[in-house]
Amino acid sequence: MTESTIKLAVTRYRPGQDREPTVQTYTVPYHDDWVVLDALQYVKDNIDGTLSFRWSCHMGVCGSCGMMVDGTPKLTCAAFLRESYPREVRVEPLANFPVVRDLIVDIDDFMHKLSEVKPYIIREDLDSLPLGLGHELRQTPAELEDFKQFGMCINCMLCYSACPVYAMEPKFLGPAAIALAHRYNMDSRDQGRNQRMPVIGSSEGIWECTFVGECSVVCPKHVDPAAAIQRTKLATTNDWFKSMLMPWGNR
Amino acid sequence: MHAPLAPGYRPALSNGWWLSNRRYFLYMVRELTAVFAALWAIIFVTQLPQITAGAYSNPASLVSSPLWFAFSLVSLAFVLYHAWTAFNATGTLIYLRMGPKPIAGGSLNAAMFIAWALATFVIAFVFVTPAIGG
Ligand code: SF4
Ligand code: FES
Repeated sequence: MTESTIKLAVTRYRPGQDREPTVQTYTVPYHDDWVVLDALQYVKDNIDGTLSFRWSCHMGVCGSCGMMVDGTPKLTCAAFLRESYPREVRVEPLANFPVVRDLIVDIDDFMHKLSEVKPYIIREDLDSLPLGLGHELRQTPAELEDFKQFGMCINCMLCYSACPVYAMEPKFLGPAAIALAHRYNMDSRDQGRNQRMPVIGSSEGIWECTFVGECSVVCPKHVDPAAAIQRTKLATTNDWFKSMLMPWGNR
Repeated sequence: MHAPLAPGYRPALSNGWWLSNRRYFLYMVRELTAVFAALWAIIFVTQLPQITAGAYSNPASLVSSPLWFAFSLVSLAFVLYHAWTAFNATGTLIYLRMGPKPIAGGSLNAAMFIAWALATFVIAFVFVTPAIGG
């Protein structure tokens, strides 16, 4: 019996060699338990060792294998060939990012934005009261519920790739960075909201978003960054009203 | 600090991006319906003095023309669609937790639709019915 095969149409780009990206088609064995990443690895091991792509865990955890599969941003370790078979599978680098080589995109912009929103617990009382026995930051399961979903983000950037606002305005802080800021703002142990708000409340933060909502559709971890952004808009508006009505208040 | 990688190319967004999937398309429809709603409201407000002066029974006036009637019908359909999308986003926008569990988004959406129905009922019976002599 002849082995079934499937075609992969892969975007190639070799800096210093190619003036623009080209498409190269490879024929690889088809197995219905293979994901796109398996097929790419097959190409690299058996057909063309120069094909470049990123991956690490092969189990939907590290967030490094995101690519456009048939035009939709997906984790290639979770996108099965059987979703396209017998049609050919189109594999392109994540949309909206500069391409470094073949399927590898430059993620510096996202890394920078992520650090800007201070995605970690900030406490103002640590100098006077270090954490330890007698000073634990306790949390109830209900309080954990308030932000847990937004903490599931694996920084895969599929949401940026699905966002037409980010495509048109690369300065936009973007879905995942705002979702992570929201995660810490909603954490009962955190006191850093006032430090994050100038960044996420700026014109390049939440107000760029026009609620297309595709970020939440493509997110492999059900983070729902669109909800985080809309809720932050509401919270910021509330802050503004409060500061107008009660200018003597804290904010 | 490492030196930033020199990016090779950044593909531009195509003009037809909003046709590339159904949800992008529906997003565009949602945004466009708001333009109709705004246009209708602006025209209505500018016509208000004539309307209070009895323009509906004046065949020469804008608001009694078939064109305005057709535009109003189309706008009504668009406004209803826009309201539908807005109310369905309530659960996304509002997070409420009472006790250990957050209130389900679907319940918040439903509350909006119920409030909408009630408001329509009140407006119809308190303002419109007396106005048309019912
Ligand atoms: S929000 Fe979702 S899609 Fe965006 S980076 Fe995090 S896990 Fe990926
Ligand atoms: S390889 Fe880690 S998420 Fe796909």
